[in-house]
Amino acid sequence: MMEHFLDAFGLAFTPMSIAAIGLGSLVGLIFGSIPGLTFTVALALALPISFSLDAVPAIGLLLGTYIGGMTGGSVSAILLGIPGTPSAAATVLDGHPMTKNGDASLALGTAVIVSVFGGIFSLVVMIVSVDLVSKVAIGFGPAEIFALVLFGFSTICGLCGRSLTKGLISGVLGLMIMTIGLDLIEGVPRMTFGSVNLLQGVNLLVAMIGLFAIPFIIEAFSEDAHLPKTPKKMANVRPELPSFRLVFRNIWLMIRCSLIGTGIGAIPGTGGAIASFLAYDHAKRFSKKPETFGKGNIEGVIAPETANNAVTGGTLIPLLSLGIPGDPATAIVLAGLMIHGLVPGPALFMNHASEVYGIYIAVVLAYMWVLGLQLLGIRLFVHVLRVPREILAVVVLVLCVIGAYSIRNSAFDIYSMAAIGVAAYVLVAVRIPITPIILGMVLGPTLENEFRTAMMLSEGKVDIFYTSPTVVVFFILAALVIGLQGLSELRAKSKTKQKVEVSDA
Amino acid sequence: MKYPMKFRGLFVAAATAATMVFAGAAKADFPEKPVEMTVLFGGTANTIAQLLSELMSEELGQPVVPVARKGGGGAVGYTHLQNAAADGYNIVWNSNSISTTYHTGRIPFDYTAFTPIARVSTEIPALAVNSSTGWTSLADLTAAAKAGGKLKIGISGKGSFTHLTSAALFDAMGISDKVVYISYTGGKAPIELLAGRIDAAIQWPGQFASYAQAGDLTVLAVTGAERASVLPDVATAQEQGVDVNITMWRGLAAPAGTPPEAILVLEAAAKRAVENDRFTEASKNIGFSKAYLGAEDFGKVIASDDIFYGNLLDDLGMAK
Amino acid sequence: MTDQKRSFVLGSLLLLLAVVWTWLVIDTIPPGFGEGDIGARAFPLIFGIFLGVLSLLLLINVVRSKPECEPDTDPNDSFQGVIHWLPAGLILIEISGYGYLLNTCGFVIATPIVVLFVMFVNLRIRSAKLLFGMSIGLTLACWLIFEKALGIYLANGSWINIG
Repeated sequence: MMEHFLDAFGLAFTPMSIAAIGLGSLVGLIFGSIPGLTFTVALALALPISFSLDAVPAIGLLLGTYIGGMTGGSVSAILLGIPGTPSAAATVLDGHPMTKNGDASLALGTAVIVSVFGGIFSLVVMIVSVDLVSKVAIGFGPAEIFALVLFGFSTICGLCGRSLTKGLISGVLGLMIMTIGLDLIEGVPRMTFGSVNLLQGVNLLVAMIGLFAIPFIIEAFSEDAHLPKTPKKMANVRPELPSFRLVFRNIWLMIRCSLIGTGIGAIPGTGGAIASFLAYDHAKRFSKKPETFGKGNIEGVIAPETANNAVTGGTLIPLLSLGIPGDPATAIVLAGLMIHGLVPGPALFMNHASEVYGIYIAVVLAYMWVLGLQLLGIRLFVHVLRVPREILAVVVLVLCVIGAYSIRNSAFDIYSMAAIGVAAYVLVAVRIPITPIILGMVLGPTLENEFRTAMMLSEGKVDIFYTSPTVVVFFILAALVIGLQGLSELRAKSKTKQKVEVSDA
Repeated sequence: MKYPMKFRGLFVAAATAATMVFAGAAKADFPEKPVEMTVLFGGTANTIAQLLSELMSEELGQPVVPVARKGGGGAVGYTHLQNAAADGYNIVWNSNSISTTYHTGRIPFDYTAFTPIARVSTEIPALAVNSSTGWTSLADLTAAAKAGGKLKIGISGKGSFTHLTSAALFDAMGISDKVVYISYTGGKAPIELLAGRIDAAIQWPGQFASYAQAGDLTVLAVTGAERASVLPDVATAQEQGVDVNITMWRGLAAPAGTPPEAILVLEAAAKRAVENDRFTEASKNIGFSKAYLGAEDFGKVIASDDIFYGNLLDDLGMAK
Repeated sequence: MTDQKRSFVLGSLLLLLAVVWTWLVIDTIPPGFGEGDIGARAFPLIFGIFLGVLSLLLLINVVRSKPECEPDTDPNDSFQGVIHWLPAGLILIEISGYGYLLNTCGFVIATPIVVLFVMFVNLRIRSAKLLFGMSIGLTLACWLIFEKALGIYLANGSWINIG
C-alpha cells in the first residue's frame, strides 16, 4: 500500500499532471459558471485531449473538469439565478436571494469553501471504505433505487412555498416532459407525434437552461425604463469572504450533507441533483429558522453545495469499483478510464493500485486548483452584477443558444429551450415554482425505469416493495416528509380560516 | 462610424462565401467543415467512437464531432441520419443494430438507406453468471434451468442486440421457455449479477473481464466463432456443442446518396485510424477486436448479416 | 386580472392539458402485457391523471377561497404580478429565429442579426455605436473563445457558410 502511494505521488506530482488538472479545473469552472454552458460539454471537449496524455494526467484532466464544473455551477446560480448544472438548481433557492441582499460574494465564497470540504470529505470516505460502500451500493437494486428516488421526490414539498398543490403540479409537469421520446425499456415512441426530433426526447440540460435563463431574460427585457434597473443593494458588491467562524458554526451541517452526498453518489444511477435537493430539504427541516429559507439563508447555500460536491467523491465508488457512471458527465470520465486501460472493476484495485491512488491525489489537487481559482475568480465574477441587466440578458441569450445547441448540435434543442423557457416564465408569473420541474425531470426517468425493472424482476408481485428493509425505510421517510408538509399546510390553512382540500394530496 | 464599415465588409465577405459554397456539389477537397458522427449507444460503443473520431480528425484535418443520439436500440440515431443531408458531413457509428431495429419494426427503412464506409471493429457477446452458482459451463446452466424455476436474464432493453443474442443462445440450448428477460438501462447488468438479483447476463467481454479476474463472476461462454481476446480461457458456445455464432461488428456509414468522393476520403481516414497504435492499444484495453473492412466488402457483410438476423428474429418470434 | 381569476384560468388550462395528454397516451401508447410487464403506457398515464387531479384541486381551492386571501411569499416568485406577454412572445420568436438562422446561415451571420434585432426592438436602443458594437463584438468574442480557443462546434450554415 505504502509503495503504491509513493508511486502515486510520482505519477500525480509531475508538472504535466498538475498542469493538466489545473487546465481541467479552469475549463470546468468556466463552463460551469457561464449560464447556458454546461460542463458536460466541457468534458466532451476535454476527452480527446486526454487521449494523448498519460493515464493519471488524463484522468486528472477529466476529473478536474468534472469537479471544476460541479463547483462552478453555483456561480451563475447565485449571481443570476440560473444554475450551471442540474445539481446547482437547489443552490438558486437561497443563493440568488443572498445576491439580492447584497451578499453575492459571501455566498460565492461560502459555496466554494463548502464545495471543497464536501469533495475532500467524500474522497476520504471513498478511500477508507470503498469496499464496504460498494457492497452497500450493490445492495441497491431497482426496488431500492425506486424507493430512494421517491424519497428524493418528496423534497418537492419543501420547495413549493405556500401551495403544495402548485408545487406538485410543477413536479408532475417535469415528470411528464421526460416521458416524451422513445421509451428506454421497450423502444416505444411516446407523445412524439411522429416527429424525429421528439424521438430523442427533451434533453435535461436544454430544459434546465430554458427553465431558468429564459425567464431571467424576459424579466430583464420587460423592466420599465423609469424603474431602477438594478436593486441598489445588488450592485453594491462587497468583496467579503466567509469568516472561519461562519464556516465552523455550520461544520455539523457540512458533515451531514457530505454524508448525504457521498451516499447518494455511491448508489449507481442517481447523481448530484437528488443529493443537493435532499441536503437542502434536510437543512431546512433541521434549521432553527426554517422560515428564512428561500430568502437568503446561508445554510441553504451550504447544504446543496456541500452535498453536490460530495457526490464527486461518492460517484468514484461505482465508477471505479463497478464501472457504472452516475450521469452523462461521469460516463465521459469512464470512457477516459477505459481508453487508458484502467478498466473499472475489482481487478482495477489489484492491477493498477498506483494509478488508482494517483487518481485520488488528482482529485485533491483538483480541489486545490478549484479553491485557488475560484477565490480569485469571485473578485471578477461579482462585477457581472455591475453590468446593466438588459445588456447582460442579451449576452445570456446568445450563451444559452450556444449552450443548448452544443449539447447535441441540434437546432431543435434551441426551439425546445425557447418553448420551455417561455412556458416557465408564464408558470412563474402565476406563482407555480419551477424548481420542482427540474426535480421531476431529473428523477422521472429513473423513477419509471427502476420501477418497471423491479416489477419485471418480481414477475409482477408487489412484495418486492415491502420485503426489503431499505425500501421500507425510504417509503416511511417519504411518507413522513409528505405527511408533515400536509399537516403544516393544514394548520396554515385553518389559521386563515379556509377549508382544507389538499391534506392528502 | 467604424462599426458599420466593418459590418459592410463582413457582408461582402459573406456574399462571396455564399456564392462559393452555394454551388454545393463542388466538393473538390472534402472535408472543408466538421464531420458529425452520430453515436447510437453509450458504453463501449461510445468509448470507441470517441477515440475513432479523434484519430479520424487527425487524418482529415477537420474535426469529427461525435454526437450522442441514443435510444430505441439505435432507432433515434438512424432516423436522424436518414433525414440528414447526404453530403459526407453526416456519418453514423453503425452496428448490427441497423438490422435488429429494422426487423423488430422500430425504423421503417433498412440498411439500404445508408452507404457503408468501413467496418472498424467486432465484439463478441459473452454470457456470465455469479461465481457462487458454481456453474462453469453452458451445460451446467442448462441443467439448472431444467431442474428449477425460470432463470432471470439481464439484457439491455427489449429488442437490443444482447436480447437477440440471449434469445438465440437459449433457443439453441433448448431452454428458451425457461428464461425471463429483465431490461436494464445504463449497463447495470454486471452489478445485478454480482448482487444475485439475476441469474445470468449477456454483455460485452470488457464489462466482465475485471470481475472474472477477481473471481466474482464466471463467464460461461462467448457466442462468436472465435474466443474473445480479453477472455482467452472462455470457450465459445460452439466449442461447448451449442450451435450459435453471433459476433457484432461496428463500422461507419453515411446516408444513401453521399458522394463517392467523400466516402473514399472517409474510408481512407477510418483505415489509417484503425491502423494507429493508439487504436490497437485501446482495443486491448476495452476488449474489442480491430476488424477493418473496406466499403465494398463491408457492404456485402451488412447485406448477408441482414438476411441472417432477419431469419433469426423470425425464428425467435421477435420480428415484427 | 385578479389572482383568483388567473388561478382559475390556469387550473382550467392545466386540466385541459391533463385530459388531452391522458387521451393521447391511451390512444397512442400500447399497454404492457401484465405479469411484471408494466409497459410503456402506465407511467405517462398516471402522470396525466395526477395532473388532472391536482388541477381539479387547484380549481376547487380557487372557487372556495376569497380573492384577498393568499398573500403569496413564494421564494421563487421574483416577478410579482403581471405577465409581460409581448417580451415573452418576442423572445420565443427571436430564439426560434436564431435557431433557424444558425441552421441556414451559421453562427457568424446569425448572431449579429439576432443581437441587433433584440437590442433594436426589445431594448429600443438607438445608438448605432452600441448596436453595432454589441452585435459584432459579442459575435466575435463568442466565436474566438468558443470556436477557436475551446473548440466547441458552433453551427455552420447549410445555405451559406463562413468561419
